[in-house]
Amino acid sequence: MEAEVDVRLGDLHLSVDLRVGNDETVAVLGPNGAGKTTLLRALAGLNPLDRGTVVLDGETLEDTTTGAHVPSERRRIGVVFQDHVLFPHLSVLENVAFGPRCRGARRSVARRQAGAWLERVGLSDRAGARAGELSGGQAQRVALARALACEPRLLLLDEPLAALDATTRPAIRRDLRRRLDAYGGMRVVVTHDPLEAMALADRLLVLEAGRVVQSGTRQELISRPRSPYVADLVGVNLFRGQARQTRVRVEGLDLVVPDAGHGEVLVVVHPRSVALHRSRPDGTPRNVWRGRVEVVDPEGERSRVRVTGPLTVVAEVTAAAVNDLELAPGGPVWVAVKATDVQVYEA
Amino acid sequence: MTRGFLVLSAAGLMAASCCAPEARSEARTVKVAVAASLTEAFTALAKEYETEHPGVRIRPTFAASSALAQQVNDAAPLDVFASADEESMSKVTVAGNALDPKVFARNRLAILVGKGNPKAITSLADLAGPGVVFLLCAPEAPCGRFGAAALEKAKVKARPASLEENVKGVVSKVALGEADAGIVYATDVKAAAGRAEGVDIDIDGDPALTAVYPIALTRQADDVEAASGWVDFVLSERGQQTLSRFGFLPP
Amino acid sequence: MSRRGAPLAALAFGALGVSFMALPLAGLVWRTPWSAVLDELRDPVVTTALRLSLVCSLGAALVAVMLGVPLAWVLARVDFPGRRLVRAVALVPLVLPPVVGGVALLLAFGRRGLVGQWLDQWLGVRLPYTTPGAILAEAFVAMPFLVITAEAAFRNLDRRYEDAARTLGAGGFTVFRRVTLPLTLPSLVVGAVLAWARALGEFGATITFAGNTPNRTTTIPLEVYLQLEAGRLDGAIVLSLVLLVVSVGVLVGLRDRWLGQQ
Repeated sequence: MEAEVDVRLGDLHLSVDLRVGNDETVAVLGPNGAGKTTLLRALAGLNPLDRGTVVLDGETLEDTTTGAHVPSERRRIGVVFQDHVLFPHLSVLENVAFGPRCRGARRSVARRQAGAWLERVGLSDRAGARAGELSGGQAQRVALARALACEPRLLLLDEPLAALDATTRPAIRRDLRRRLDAYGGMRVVVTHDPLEAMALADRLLVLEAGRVVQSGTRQELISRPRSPYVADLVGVNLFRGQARQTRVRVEGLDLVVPDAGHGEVLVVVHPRSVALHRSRPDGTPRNVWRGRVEVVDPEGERSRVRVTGPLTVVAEVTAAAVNDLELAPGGPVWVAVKATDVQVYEA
Repeated sequence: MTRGFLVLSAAGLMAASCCAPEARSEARTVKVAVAASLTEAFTALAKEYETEHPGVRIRPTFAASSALAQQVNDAAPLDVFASADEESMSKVTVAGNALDPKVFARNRLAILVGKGNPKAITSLADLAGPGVVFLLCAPEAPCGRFGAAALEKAKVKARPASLEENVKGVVSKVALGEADAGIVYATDVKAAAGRAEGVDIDIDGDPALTAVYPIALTRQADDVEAASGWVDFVLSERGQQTLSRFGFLPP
Repeated sequence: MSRRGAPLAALAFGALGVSFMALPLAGLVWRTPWSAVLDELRDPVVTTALRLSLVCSLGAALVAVMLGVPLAWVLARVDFPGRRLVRAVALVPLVLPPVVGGVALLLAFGRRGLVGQWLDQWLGVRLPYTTPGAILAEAFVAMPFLVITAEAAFRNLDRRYEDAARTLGAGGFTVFRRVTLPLTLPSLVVGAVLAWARALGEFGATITFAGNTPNRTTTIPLEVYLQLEAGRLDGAIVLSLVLLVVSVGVLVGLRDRWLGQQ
């Protein structure tokens, strides 16, 4: 599928180019209000484009230059909505049979197909239940079965795991990944959760305020985040600075970096590379400065410590180190980063 | 809050009670219950009377005689009752709520037809003609009883399209063209001049088919002097002249 | 004081409210000539009026549903210039005195009316003084109750149910029939019942537009009024009581099945 989507909706101006290949899952990642859901609705034909085209398998579904517009009900695009949106007045089986019925199948045929899909998602025993009687995970599988029963070429999933509680989410996420891989078509998953995006998708597209700020594989995003939002998502320190030879001016500080450069650059420092000390450390040329502990977030064996100062950074240290250094909010601390641990790339 | 409200209402009540007599001393008011068929005539009479007696105000209420009789018997604040039939008046006198009714006018029935009389109606018998939509008052109203009696006497079997709740309803609908004809009083024909036309009914002289209008003071009347002054005016030569101008016959 | 006082005050005012509604009904029951009730009920005038009342009010509710549901849907879902004006026009009978409504109906659908003259000339259809005319008058007054309820129901429905149906291949009418309608049905039933109840008690527009024609347009409210005019208080009270029993019975019965779910 190839789409150029340009939609204005209230304050949002969504302008996105999106390509999805066969048997590929693309995740659209972004904060609330970035336009993720609007993008899905535009692809599904539920929101008209202000400008652009949507082409699926060579068929033009929408083209604002020619005025072509295939209505939602005739696009071979399945949608799994956020919160699943199962029809509350129908049984689980009738929900899944809805699509085949609308596409002309006889009632008995549609019900047989729906039964087969329920078996595939392991919910044959819930066929007679109402949507409201299902658990979150079951509802998610029914929503998937309902969309797939129409045999779409492109499947759109809007925050498929958001409605689930934290304890069941990992298992259902793995299960969903397996099912998406089994379905051979194109997939687009919209989510605000980077973990979910990386677990489900081969390729990621980061959307901020209606624009794509970065796209690429998981690895590309982790190693070279291009915006504070993405850096925050992948958990690294990202700064923007001016490079002069092997020094980069970042906020109120000159960082020593391994490679010479010039002009505007992005600087990435992994939290594990940020060392904390009670007194000024000695030794080889380093980036050293004094800061103040703002917050300590324990995460299992390790803690993330946010330190304010000339440059605000997040350090990741062991729980033992937190004790040894007597790190507490408000306390003074020395920050050290090896020049070789600073990654620099062009902005 | 609650107490404040009570104090306020008490003050309001006191104000109302203290000022009521004062207001009456300024202008004496006679409240008159008037049958709907007297609307135009009594409006004119009231105006004449008020010009001659600047201290007195006549406040008429127009409705079907039967409805007014009910109101008088329910002790509504009405000083004088002018009815379009003796039956309604007797309901009031029998209950002891009015005294000594006097007949002040009579009224003939007439057929009211649309402008130009498009259905060429000349008699009660024509009301039974094909496609003629005609209206009668409801039997509860005097015009309905007289009308039904007139039809029976003329041996007309035609059924009215609707039994209107009062005579002015018949007039409005004929004038609107929603009915071809209606049985009303001669006075209504006169009042509707320009909007509709009248056809005389040839049953004159039959007392059973003539409406008789009695007037009486009610038991509620508290300013008897003003109220009887008004009744005397209606019965006087002047009053009778005005009534005949509107098509009423002398008693 | 304030914490415990608030519910107490609410209870007190609630009790006052109920009394205000219930006392007139109690007055009606108190004055009912019980010994004469059976005789009055056997009176063909009463049974005819009751039958007419049911026929006309049900007919009016049906007309209101057939015309009002599509109108409410358009008002809720289609964004067009002048929508506020259209909504105001559709709700005007709520504030219009019914008698004025009756006159307006005469001027539109009467024999000489804007539309009525053509109905008469081309189709030979005359509405005044007929049962269909009474149904029309009652529907005119009752329809806003349905429109207002149905529009709110359509507005409150999560549109994503309809979106989901469309992505599953359902065209416009299928979406309405298989998703919108079933999901809003409880509210639509409530609206239809409100409209029916309003039609059952309709007086002013009916007597003005459809006249008072025994067997055709004399519904119970008209008969009650005429009986009062004639001074037959007992008859009027018994008729009112019949209307009261029928309507309270239906409202209570429906409350459990539909309103209770809300």
